[in-house]
Formats: sequence, structure tokens, C-alpha cells
Amino acid sequence: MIEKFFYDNKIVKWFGLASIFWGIIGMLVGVIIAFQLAYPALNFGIPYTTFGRLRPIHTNAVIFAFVGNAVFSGAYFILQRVLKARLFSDVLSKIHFWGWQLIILLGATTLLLGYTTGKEYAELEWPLDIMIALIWVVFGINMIGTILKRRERHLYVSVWFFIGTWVTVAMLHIVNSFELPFSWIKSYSLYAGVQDALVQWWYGHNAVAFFLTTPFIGLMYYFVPKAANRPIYSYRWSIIHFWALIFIYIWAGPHHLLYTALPEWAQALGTVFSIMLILPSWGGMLNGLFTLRGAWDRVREDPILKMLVVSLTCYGMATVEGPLLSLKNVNAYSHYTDWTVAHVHVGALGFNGFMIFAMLYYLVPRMWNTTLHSRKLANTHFLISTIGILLYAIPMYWAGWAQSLMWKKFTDGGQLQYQFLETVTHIVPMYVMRGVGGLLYWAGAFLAVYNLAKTMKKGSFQDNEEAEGLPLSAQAMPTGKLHWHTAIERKPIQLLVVSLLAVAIGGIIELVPTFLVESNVPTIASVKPYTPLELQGRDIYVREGCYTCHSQMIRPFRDEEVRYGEHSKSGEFVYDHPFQWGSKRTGPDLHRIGNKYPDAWHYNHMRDPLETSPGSIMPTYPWLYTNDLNTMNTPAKIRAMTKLGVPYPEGYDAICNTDLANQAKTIADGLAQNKIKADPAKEIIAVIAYLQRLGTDIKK
Amino acid sequence: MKFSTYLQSIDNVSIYPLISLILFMIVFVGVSIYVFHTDKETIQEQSNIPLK
Repeated sequence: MIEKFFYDNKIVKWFGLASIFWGIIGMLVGVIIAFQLAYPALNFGIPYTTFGRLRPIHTNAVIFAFVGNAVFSGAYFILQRVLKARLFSDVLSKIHFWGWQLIILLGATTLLLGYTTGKEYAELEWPLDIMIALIWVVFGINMIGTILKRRERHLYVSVWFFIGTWVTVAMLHIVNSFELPFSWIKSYSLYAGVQDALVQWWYGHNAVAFFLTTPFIGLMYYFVPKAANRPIYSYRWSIIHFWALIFIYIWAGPHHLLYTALPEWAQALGTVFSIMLILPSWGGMLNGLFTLRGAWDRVREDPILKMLVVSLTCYGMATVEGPLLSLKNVNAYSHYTDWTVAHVHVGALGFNGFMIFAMLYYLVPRMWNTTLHSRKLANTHFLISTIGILLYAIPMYWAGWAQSLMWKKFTDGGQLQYQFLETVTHIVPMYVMRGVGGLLYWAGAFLAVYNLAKTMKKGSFQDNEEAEGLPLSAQAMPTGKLHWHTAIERKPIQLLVVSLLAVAIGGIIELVPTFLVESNVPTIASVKPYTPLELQGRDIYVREGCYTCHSQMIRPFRDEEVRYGEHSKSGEFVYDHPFQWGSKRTGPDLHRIGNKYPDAWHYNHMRDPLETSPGSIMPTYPWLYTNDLNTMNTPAKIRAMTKLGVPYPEGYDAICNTDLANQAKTIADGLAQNKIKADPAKEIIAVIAYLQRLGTDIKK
Repeated sequence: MKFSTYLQSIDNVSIYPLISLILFMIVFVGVSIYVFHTDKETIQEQSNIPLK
């Protein structure tokens, strides 16, 4: 008995439109911050337009808003069709959509206002973390519910990738978001130092894996066959691809922390699994590309196929480059440089971006019952954006190599040849070219907006698309013996549980040993908790996103020890909630900045970096000199830290502000001796206190 | 003090990477065996789902 039902196209449309909308905004912010690195005046001297705050907005907007909405759009389109069923609940779809947009809006607002956890790609504060978890559950129920009421017995491989995505992102988000709130909007990470770093990069790496990769592989396994009008090259490969990818990816996180204070064995584990990742990644890429065998003539004409081909090629490049970057000898050069930025953008602009645009060029004409407004315009978009990617990536590779070699260059006399600032000014022209590349890519995206809008205008949108299928109960079971894997792949809950097991085993074995370390006991006796003023200063450091340009992790290399001081030890970070190791050195490392310069230098430097460091590209921070330090929350912060195991004396929260005022006065008095009239109540004093403390404990 | 001091307090920590490698091999080999034992028609039918 064939049943008639309707696909819900409306939710696919909403998520698609949201993806384009946020994509244009997120990429524009990217272009702005790219030019800020070449022309610091573009920071405009106000907090809301300064690099440190805009950079998290760019990353969060493109990852969670542009890519996130596109994934939901594509997944909801695909799920309905390969499962032959309407989505489980229209209400849940709506809650999912509006909930996600609300999170994006609140996320952007709070980040602009400086409310950040200071952990890359997980910057949103605790109330938003809870909202994300809830909306993610709604997505899960809607997806699993649809699978349960399906009319197709076998779950097509795209569905597996969506299930793997859902279960792993849930796990990553929850584990990385354990934080202790001390106000309605602010919190401290539950983990400190090395543990926080390990959890964060286990999350960060797998956010790339399970938010930017696995769902896109799910999209690829549907849209490539659709666009080429032939089945995937090897369905067998796709099954191996799935298990290998989710199983290996989860282990590779520590490759972000090579040569840091992370235990050696964890670093080695990360490297080995990163190398192993080449196989499933390339298997997947080739599976997609081989699908086009015999259809290459069409690739010349069809902008959708063109974009899919470049997307898969970029995936292949990024996934061979990633493992290479995780080799310790390569990482020694590449880490902290623009090389990483180039690597990420080959994946983001090429693989993710082009896959999304190909998907939209495919979906819009179908859902609006028409043809694409202009194929020529889409081809122009492809061309402009491809040039944009090249113009973005090549200068950044160059800049990364050049700067790294300059950092490590010694004179014959055994001195460092270049000041840090010289290595920055040397690559500023590359920053300009990168900005132009980004602008071109953005212009291409704008052409897509115009082209798609025109297409929508000339067609008529079909909210509900009619379809039909036999209910499962009416379908004959296949004869013969059922294989164990067949049993798993037919039962979504089992598939979900087995996927969770695969990723959880990796996560647990990787994380547990680190948790066993007693974080409460200082591993270095002279390392003491921050004073209240330093703690406040540290929170301002986090608020202004200083970690987006400065690392606090000196690796055990000759050049780094000569330039910055003794290499960092794990025991020095035991009170750092959250850790602030950073991942990029647009500016120098700050772990041993304490006592390197007098207070007066910092005072002048932060007001106008050019005054102390001609040629510097650091923004100015004039508001730190006019804002009063909020000391109302010091007791709450001390209480929260005490709860996290930081050994402040009992009842210290009641008297901490007295200590704070005394220390501030000492700093202001010291500045007065240098003929600087500074108000001890201003935020800059706290920042100076924090910077002067950094890395000094082990010298005591 | 080095971080490894603490790791030594975990019994047989060196077995962790080994476990991971063995687990992966089991899954990988298991899935491969399954995949190449499935008959061609089933695979073909499954790979045609998006095109139906």
C-alpha cells in the first residue's frame, strides 16, 4: 500500500537563507580583520571594532552560523529524501531554526561586549553553552525521529555521517563547556592549565572534524551523485570511510600542542593518528572525484560540478597538509605562524565554502521549480572565488615560512638576527594581499546572493513537495542471513550507540590520564595564585581577546628561549582557568613578559603601541585608561577560584579588594615616579599587574 | 618537575597508545571484511538510494 506524504522544503529554505545571510556577514568581518593586521588604524580605537573581539566573531560566525545553518539545511533536505519521510516534527524544526538563530545573535552580541570564555571556537559563555546543548538535542530528536519513521530500510551513508556528527559534537561540546559561573554571564573553566589545553584542543580539533568535516562528507555523498547523476564510485569505500574517519579523528587533537608542556606520549599519539587520517580522508576525496569518471566533460560547463571538484580537491590538500603539519619537525616551524591560517582557509573557503555554494546552486532551482537565473554568473562566482582562495592562501604560506625562518635565524655571533617586530613588518605586504584575496572570495559570494535571489524571484517556492513510498512494515524482509553490520546500519539507535562508543573510547583514553594528575597541588612550589588585581587584569586580557595574537607557551627551542626566556613548564599553569596558551603569534609570546619591561613601558605601549614599538600592528586600547575597574565582582571571582581548588586563604574573598587597592596604588605610585599620572582605579593598572606577574614565579 | 612524574603514577600508561592501535585495527579489519563480503547487488541497490 503506497503512502503519499510531503517533504518539508520550508525548513530547508530557512536554514539555507540563514546560511547565506550569516555567511556574508561573517566573511565581511573576516575581510575587515584581515585588513586590520595591515592597517591597525582600522581598529578605530574602540573596543567593539578591535581585532581581539572581532576575530572570535568572525570564526564563530563562519563556523556556527554560515556552516552550521548550511549543514542543517542540507541535512534536512537529504534526510527526508534518502529516508523517504517528512521530518519528524515541524514544531521541532521551527524551534531548532529560531533557537539556533537566537544563539547566533546573542553570541555575536556577547562577544562584541567582551563576554568570552577565552577558549578558541568555544568562546560563548555558559548561558549560551546551555542553549546550544538544548537546541542540539532538538536537532537530534528531529533527526532520529525521522529515521525511525522512515520508508527506506537501509540507512544511506550520508545519514551515518549526520548521526556521527550529532553524537560527537554533543560529547565535545558538553565536555569542553564544563565551567563554573561566578555571575549571570561569566564563568571560569573547570579545568586549568595543561588539562584545559588538552580538553580545549581535543574539542578544537574535533570541532573541525565533526562540525566542518563529517557533515560535509554526508553532503558530499548525496550531492556529488545527484549533481553527476550517477551513484557514488564505491559504496564499499564509503562505509570504511565512515568508521575509519570517526575512529581516527577523535585521537588526533594533541597535534595542536606539540612541543608544549603536554606529556610526550599524548603528543606522539596525536601525531600517529594524524598520519593515519590521510587514508580515510583521501579515500573519501577520491571516492567523490571518481564518481565523476566519464562525466568530466560536464565539469567544464556545470558550475555546481566545478565547485564540487574544487571543494574535494581542497579537502584533499587540507587533509594531507594537516597530518604533515602534525609531524613534530614540521610543526616546529609551522606552529604559531600564518601557515596554520592558510591551511585552515584552504579547508574553510575551498572545501566548506564551495560545497555550500554548490549545494545552494543545486537546491534553490529545485525547490523553486525553476532553473538557475544565470549559469554564467555562477561560473564567474566560481572563477573569482577560486582566485580569491589562491590569493589568500599563497601569501599566507609565504608569510608563515618567512616569519618562522626569521624567528629562528641567528647571526654568526650567536645572537638572534631579527627583532620580533622586524619579522612582522616584513610580512605586512602579504597581509594586504591576503585581504584582497578574502575580498575577492566575498565578492564571489555576493554574486551568489544576487544569482540565487534572482532565481527565487523567477520561480515559485513549493513549501511541501509530494512524494510516495511503501511503509517499512509493508516491505518484504530480504531473505538470507543477516550480517551483523547490516543489523547495525538498519537500526539508528544502535548505529548511534556504536558511533558514540567509537568516539568515546578515543576521548577517554586520551583524556583520562591527564585528569588523574592532581591539579590542586602546585607542581612547582614557588608558583602561587594570582593576586586579586592580577586576576582582574587576566580577565581583561581574556575579554580583549589578547590570546588571538599572543601565545603564552614558550617551546623548548634555542631561538624561543633566547627570545622569550626559559621554556614553559606544565606546573606554571595550575591556576590558569582558562589556559591562555594561544595558537598564533601575530605578536610575541608573553609567557615571560613579567618584569621584562618597566610598568611605564606597558602603560605607554597599550595606549599607543607605535610610541614604544614603531611599526607595530597592535591596536590601541584607550578605553583601558578611562574605564574604572569593576571591583564589585572580585569576591565572587575569588570564591569561584577557591571552589576550583585555587588555594586562597579562608575568608579571603572578604578582604581581597583591600589587597587589590593596595597593589593598584603601588603600581600607580611607581608610574608617578616616571612622571606618569595614573589613576589606580582604572583597568590598565590591573592589566599591567597581570602582565608583570606572567612567568615570574619560577624565578623566585 | 616534569609532567611525566605524574604519568608514572598511572599504572602501565604505555599501554594506552597500544590499546588504541589494536582497537582501531579490529574495527578497520572487521569493517573491511564485512564490506567486501557483501554481495554486489545489495551494495548497488544501497548506493542508488539518492538517485531513486
